[in-house]
Amino acid sequence: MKKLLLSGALLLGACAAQAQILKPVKWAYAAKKTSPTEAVILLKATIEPGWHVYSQHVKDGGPVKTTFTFTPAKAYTLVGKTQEPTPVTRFEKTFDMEVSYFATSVIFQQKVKLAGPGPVTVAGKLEYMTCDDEKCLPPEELPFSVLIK
Amino acid sequence: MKNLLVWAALAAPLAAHAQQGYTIQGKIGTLSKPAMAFLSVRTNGVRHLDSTYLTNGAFTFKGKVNEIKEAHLMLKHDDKPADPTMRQRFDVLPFFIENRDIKIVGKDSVKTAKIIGSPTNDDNKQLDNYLRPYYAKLEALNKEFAGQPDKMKRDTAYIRTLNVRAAQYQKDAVQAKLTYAKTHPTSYLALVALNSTLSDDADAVGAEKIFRQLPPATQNSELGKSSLQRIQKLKLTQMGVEAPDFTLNDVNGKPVKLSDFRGKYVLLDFWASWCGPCRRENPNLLKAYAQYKDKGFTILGVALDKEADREKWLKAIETDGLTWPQVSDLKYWNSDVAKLYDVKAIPMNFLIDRKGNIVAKYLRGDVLNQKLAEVLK
Repeated sequence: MKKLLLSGALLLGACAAQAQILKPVKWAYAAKKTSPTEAVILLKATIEPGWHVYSQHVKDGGPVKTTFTFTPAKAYTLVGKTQEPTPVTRFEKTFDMEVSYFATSVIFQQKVKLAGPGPVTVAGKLEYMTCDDEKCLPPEELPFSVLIK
Repeated sequence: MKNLLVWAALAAPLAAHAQQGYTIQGKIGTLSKPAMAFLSVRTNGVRHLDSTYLTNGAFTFKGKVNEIKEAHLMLKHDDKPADPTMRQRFDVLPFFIENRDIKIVGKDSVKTAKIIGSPTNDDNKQLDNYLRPYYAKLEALNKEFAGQPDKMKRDTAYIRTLNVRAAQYQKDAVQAKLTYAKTHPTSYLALVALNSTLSDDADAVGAEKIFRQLPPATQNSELGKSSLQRIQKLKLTQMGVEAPDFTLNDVNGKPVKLSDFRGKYVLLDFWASWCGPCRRENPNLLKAYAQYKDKGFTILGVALDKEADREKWLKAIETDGLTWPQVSDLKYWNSDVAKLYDVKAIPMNFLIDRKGNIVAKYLRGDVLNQKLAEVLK
């Protein structure tokens, strides 16, 4: 669904209209049941070439890190923290510190323990910011909800 | 009486159309269940999704739209569940939906299918063909770059020539779109083309003139309303207009007013301590400031830092050695001044002349130095 641009007129998306509809990061959510009482929530960011989404563990004094907040509910409890794959870590002279980020795509995973057998909806929100070499876009706060069948 | 009858006969099919809504009749080869077609139409930010199985290639969607809308027809060829860990590849046809009998015919996919019976989609195709040569030039540029040896790819002088050519091609494409919008005002695609030219450096005054020539129905459409909003915002910071005035506190809590700098050239610079690209641009600003500060030039830095990050803001100013006035309301992206200037990404800057008018935007690297050399001779 990346090519949501109309072939003709919005081919323009590639160029002039970019400033207006810059959306280099797209999020998708899913769940995988790993046992009758456990599941993993998958939060996936697909990132356009050149853009970065930052690790949850970027230290203070650098770019804005990615954060996940899950809405507490009786139907599930979180198991551990939200996991992320090994990010690209680079020393950034401008910040005088190491900055960890993801490019192309990243899947964050949150294990949950389910209270009962029925379908459960896990909801929450995430906040992330994205930059490329040229600029940074405003951080976005996105609500998500995932159904575990 | 005869005249009246003719009128009635002409009016009838029109009225029927308005009532009827759309019918999309698809025929994609001989695909059948589990092959499924999805129709997605977005109205005021809400997506409406319809779906149906194919039978011997055929499927039908019926419905009604209150105006022409962008829509997507998607075909799922099998019933495998989507794998959340994989990038999904869909067979999708983006098109415009309107209240007509539309046929969509293809051999084995909707991506390459033909749309029949819809003037708006015919216009889209025409516009597409008209713009294709302009985009071909940009694509050729990409290819040229990709074909260069690694050494050349890092050659900043070469990259600069590429950027100059790309900027020209984009300008040409924008001009072509505006020409299309001017010469095809009755087509909905005139609005689509016009809207796509509304980048940060667009000529909003010119765009508004073209917009006003569009039929009222187009102007009042969802896309029309958002385009006009964008035009009006752009007009606020367009070159030649007076820079919107504001007052913000500096690092010592002392109010600083933009118009206090009248008589000097001011670079209004939006940045933040957490913004890598902004910080990397600071050495360039330092150079420009050192060179021109005694020739009637100054910089006013507006930081989009958070209230809680006041210390980080101050530290960044110190680390980067910025000696020009620095102000912030510490409201992060909710900064009123960033809103006033419609800042959508940072770094962003505006060059304001001695009378307080905006004369340039988004000056970075060499371009900033060239511009300052030109105006501060």
